[in-house]
Amino acid sequence: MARVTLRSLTKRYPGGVTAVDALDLEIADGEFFALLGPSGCGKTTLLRTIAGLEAATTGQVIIDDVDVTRLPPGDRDIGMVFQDYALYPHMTVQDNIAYPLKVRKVNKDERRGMAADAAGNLQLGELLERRPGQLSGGQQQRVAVARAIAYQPRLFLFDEPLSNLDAQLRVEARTFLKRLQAEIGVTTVYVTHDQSEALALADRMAVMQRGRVRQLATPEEVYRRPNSLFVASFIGSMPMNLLDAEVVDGALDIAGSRLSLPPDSAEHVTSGDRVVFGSRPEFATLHDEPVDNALEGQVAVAELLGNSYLLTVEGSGLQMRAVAAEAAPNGTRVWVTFDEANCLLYRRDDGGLVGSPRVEGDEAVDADAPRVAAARQ
Amino acid sequence: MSPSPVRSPAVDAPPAPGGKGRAREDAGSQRSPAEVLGVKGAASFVAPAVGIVGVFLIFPALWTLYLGITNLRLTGLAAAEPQVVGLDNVTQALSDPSFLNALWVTAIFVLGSAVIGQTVLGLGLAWLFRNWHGWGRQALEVLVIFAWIIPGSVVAFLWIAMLDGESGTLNALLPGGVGIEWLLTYPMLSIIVFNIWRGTAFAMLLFGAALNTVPPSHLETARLAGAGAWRQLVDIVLPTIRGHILTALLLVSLWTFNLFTPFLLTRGGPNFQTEVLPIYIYRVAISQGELGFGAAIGAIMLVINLAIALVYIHVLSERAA
Repeated sequence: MARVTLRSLTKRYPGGVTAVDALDLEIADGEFFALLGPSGCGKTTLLRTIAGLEAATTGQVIIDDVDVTRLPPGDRDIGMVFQDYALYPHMTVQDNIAYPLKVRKVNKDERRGMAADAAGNLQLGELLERRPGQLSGGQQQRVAVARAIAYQPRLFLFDEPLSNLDAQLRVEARTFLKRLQAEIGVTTVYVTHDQSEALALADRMAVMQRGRVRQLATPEEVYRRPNSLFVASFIGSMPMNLLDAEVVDGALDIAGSRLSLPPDSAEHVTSGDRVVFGSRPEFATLHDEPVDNALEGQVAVAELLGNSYLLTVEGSGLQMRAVAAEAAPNGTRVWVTFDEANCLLYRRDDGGLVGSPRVEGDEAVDADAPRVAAARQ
Repeated sequence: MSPSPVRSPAVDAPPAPGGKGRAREDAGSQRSPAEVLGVKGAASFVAPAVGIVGVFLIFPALWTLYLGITNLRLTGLAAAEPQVVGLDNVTQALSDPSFLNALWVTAIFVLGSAVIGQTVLGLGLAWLFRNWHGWGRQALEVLVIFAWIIPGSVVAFLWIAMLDGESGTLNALLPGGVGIEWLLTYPMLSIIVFNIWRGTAFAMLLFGAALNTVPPSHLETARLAGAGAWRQLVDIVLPTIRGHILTALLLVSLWTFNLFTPFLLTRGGPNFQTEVLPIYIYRVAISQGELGFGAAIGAIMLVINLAIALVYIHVLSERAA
């Protein structure tokens, strides 16, 4: 088991792209840690630098108090599962699983036993003599995991291991991975661009953008209190409502309508502050007659989610989304209220949550982009 | 490259859910060319190619087979009225020390320059330069392809200039003025080196492309397990590019087997030490005028070529099974 510490880790590619930018991170022993971010945010590079497949430009990778920054990958005692599974087509399932053991000079009987054990753990016992080409995608994925656990490394790295599975299988594999990790308790770093995967699996997660960690917290915290507009717009299967607002006399003015200030945020803002009001569709309620603290609009689209509907409401130049138990015909006049305990305010200039430290540098400028995109959808 | 082992993604890709079914539907929805054009229309498209192949390939091959069972000579009575002698030419060749010598010399030439030389060296060079990318690699490939596109006769004379005893470049470079007549002292080695220099470029380019088909994650998984470069090569790379290796071996050994250019360096000598089969046929059929006998040996070469090809194809198909 292992504890991973990254100290001002930087990876700059020749050509000047900085994929990982002076990153500090501590991953606890036995933790399931997810790295989440849009493509190109540096999460895979970070994972590969931990593995030793990329050399760090500066900074340190420390595993269990040992600086491994300059160690070759084979000496770091790490198991990794790749997006394409990287199974060897010319070897049987058994030989694939046992291959790392063979490289480590475990004798033949012992490694066959260890491979069979790992395969048994992952319900692959029947398939040991098959070739990877004869397996389904889900089975291949499990063989890749079995190969990573068979030699009992102290650290698991997963690079988008579920992206190649279809949606249904992905949920099954997700549950399976989480249970497996809990059982064997090996520290795990899991890279994904799928926010639902990160939320579902991780004990703790880092949301990355441009080589930096934008929020480091538990999935619950990231979901309920995204600390910047970037994270707010990235997390959640339904886009968060992000509406431009101004603080006026202890209340919010949104396109001429008045909403009361969210209690958590009230002390951090003063009259005249230009902010962005954020609330998830799940915490919005529709009313069919005028109520206080509501934004008025007309139903534009109704989408079935399963046991509820996602309604898009438009009015006064605003667009809002709300989850409702029942659909309403297009054009219906509605008043939308938001659960105050789950409303957030962001500073409009740098995109940070009000009351939080200011976001520095170019990220602050960038923070505007996702919000504008979200508002105009 | 007819028995191309380049694996089609459709065959090799893990069976993606629904993938197979979709491929089948696509195939079903497309009409074959024969359906669109009609049999006659389709035949008219193919006819020119079939005609050219027939005139320049099939007819000469059959004609050679026919000549091989006659006693046709370049001059004299048998030139005007050749007699059919059946398999006499073949039995005569099989007991002829000159033929057996030529066969042996050819075997060494193919093994040394095609199998060990071009294929192994080409693979080694491709492996060595696998991490080169960008303009460096392009420059290397351009340079290397020059060795391949320069006509064989030009290359042969360049090597004569290199290996000549009195004014050769090699002797000039060697200290002490040894003045070795390389082509006379080491004739077999000379033609092997000549052919390696000429053909390795092809193998290297082919293997360079083949190495690109090995997914990086396969090698990275091995690296994480602690496998060094040699282990990665043996355990992962070679099995993955096995098809490419077999194709290269097939092409290069057939080309080398039928190569006549060593004649330009050594004329088969000294004392028939470098008389490979094509040179032997040239000596028998043209110099000595025994066209029928030469044609029979040509037919034997054809059979050997076929045998080599069949062995490779068999090994290739074993892999697919």
